[in-house]
Amino acid sequence: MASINLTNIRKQYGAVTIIDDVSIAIEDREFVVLVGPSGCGKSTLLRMIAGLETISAGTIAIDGEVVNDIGPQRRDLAMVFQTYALYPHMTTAQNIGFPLKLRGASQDEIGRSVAEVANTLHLDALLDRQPRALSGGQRQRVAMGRAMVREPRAFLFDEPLSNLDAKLRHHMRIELRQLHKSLGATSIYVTHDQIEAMTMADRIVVMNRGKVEQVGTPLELFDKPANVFVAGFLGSPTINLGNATLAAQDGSATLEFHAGSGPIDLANVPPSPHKEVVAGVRPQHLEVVSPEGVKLTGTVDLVEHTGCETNVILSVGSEKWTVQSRTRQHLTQGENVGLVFDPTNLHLFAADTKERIRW
Amino acid sequence: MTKAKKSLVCWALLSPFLLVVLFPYATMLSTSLKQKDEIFTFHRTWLPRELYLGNFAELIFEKGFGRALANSLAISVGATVLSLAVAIPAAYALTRMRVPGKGALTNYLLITQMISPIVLIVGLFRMFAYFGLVNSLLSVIIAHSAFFMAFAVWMLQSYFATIPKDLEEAAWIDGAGRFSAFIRVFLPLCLPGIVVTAIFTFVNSWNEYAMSLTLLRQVTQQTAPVQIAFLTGTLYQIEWHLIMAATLLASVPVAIVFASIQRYLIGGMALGGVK
Repeated sequence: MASINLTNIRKQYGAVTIIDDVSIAIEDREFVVLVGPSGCGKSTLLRMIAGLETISAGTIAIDGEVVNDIGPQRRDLAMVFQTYALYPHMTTAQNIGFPLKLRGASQDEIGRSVAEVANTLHLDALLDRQPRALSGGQRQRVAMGRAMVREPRAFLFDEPLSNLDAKLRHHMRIELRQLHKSLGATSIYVTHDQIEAMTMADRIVVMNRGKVEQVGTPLELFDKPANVFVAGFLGSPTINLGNATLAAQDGSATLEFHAGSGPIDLANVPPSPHKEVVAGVRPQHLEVVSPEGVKLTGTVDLVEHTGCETNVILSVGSEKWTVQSRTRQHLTQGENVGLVFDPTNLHLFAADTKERIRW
Repeated sequence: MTKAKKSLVCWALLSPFLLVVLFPYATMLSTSLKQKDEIFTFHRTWLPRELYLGNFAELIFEKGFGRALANSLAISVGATVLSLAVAIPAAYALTRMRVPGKGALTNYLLITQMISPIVLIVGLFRMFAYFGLVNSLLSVIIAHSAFFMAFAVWMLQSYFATIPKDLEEAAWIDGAGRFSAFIRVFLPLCLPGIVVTAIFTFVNSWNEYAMSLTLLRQVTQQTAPVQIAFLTGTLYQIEWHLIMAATLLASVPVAIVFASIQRYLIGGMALGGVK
């Protein structure tokens, strides 16, 4: 197993910069998830680690050894592709055994290892089938098996679950996590799905437009997003963000949303040099109350019942906000309601830099 | 509609085409089995008086047509192998690697196809004469493979482009070098495309007339199409019984090649590997 260090990585196609000065240190046995919207460069970064893309500048080191000029064959990494990339002319057993065959292992050895991996992944009955005779979930397992059969220095996953249906995806997520626990292998996992990122990662790297926005544990990122992008990217439903003015009053601060609210007292927030801010409150942290005497109000547009939770979509001034409540809400469209939140759950970002204001 | 009914309808609709396709073969077969005096009778029949194989015997033993077939076979196989040996790596490079001037090169290949071989024949003859290769089967093998290579590259290139790049990349990560991934993963998947190209090159080379006529000056080196043409050119009469026997023999190898490798033509090998 291995640690992987990316230092000042850059990737350019002509004048277009795809990856811009990215540095990430991945520790041995860590499960790191690269997450971001499509086109943010996360897959390119993974392919650069795998050796499938050249690096314009910077260094990639595996266990301290710089591998910039080493081909994918000799990096000793395993990768699971989004498309699975199973060899169509080979059976399941041949697919899984292929990396060992290339290393000149004996038939006995290959047979034993393949059987072992097939047993772990419940593929025993499918060893003689070709990929076209397998379902999506089974193909995914074969791709996993091919990666596991030799003990690589690290696993790379390129959106491996994105072609599966929701139920299977949930199931595979758990299996992958358990597999990681038992193998203890360094893993880098690329996804655009924040649920996958939150549930699987030891640490998440949020990327946007070729840059790293924030690195941290899932809860760190959720509780203390470094900027507006991270706040908006993680969490479902999306965080409610509104432009607001921060004012000082008797040694503490008040907040007034531009969309229309009275000054809300923020007892625990000390006065800040920032006046114009973006304020964010997660839907789970908002509560719908009667509008009397409440500074922040909205009108109900839509109520979504998901069974467990109720999502209330409201108009606050010209903005759309969401409230997620675990109690059933019996509201009607057009009803005027008040919104309250605990100021400790408020996220404040500078309006100009969009960076988090810490207090 | 049941499956049987459906196939019956298909056959009914296709049978007129089948007639058109089979008519020349039927004529060839029927005429080649007849004796010379039987061909121009007033009441034409499809079936010969008796099963007469004398035309074939005369053709092979007296006219040396067996040798012509052997020459044709040697040239066609040689030209097919040589042109594929060059076209496969070329098409691979054009689809998978960064080749400077790629667009210009592929356009150039297309342009070469617009020039009729007849135009180049004098030049070709002089060139092979310079190298001392006139009257050598090798000269025709080289000329044919050069001519059909451009088309082979085009055809292979469009087939290669349909093979997902992920598969090779997966092989590289699994530890295969570029060449090993090419042989173990890429080529097996390209087999249908390669076979189609091989058939095409083989048939083209087998039927080619002008270059073989020009570059091979000796009777012993004539190819089948050239010799068939010479059969028609007898001074006082056209020997249809021999011509028909010869054309039948000349079209049989092509039919055999088609029949024996047609199973590779069934595509869909790449299905299922990537989603």
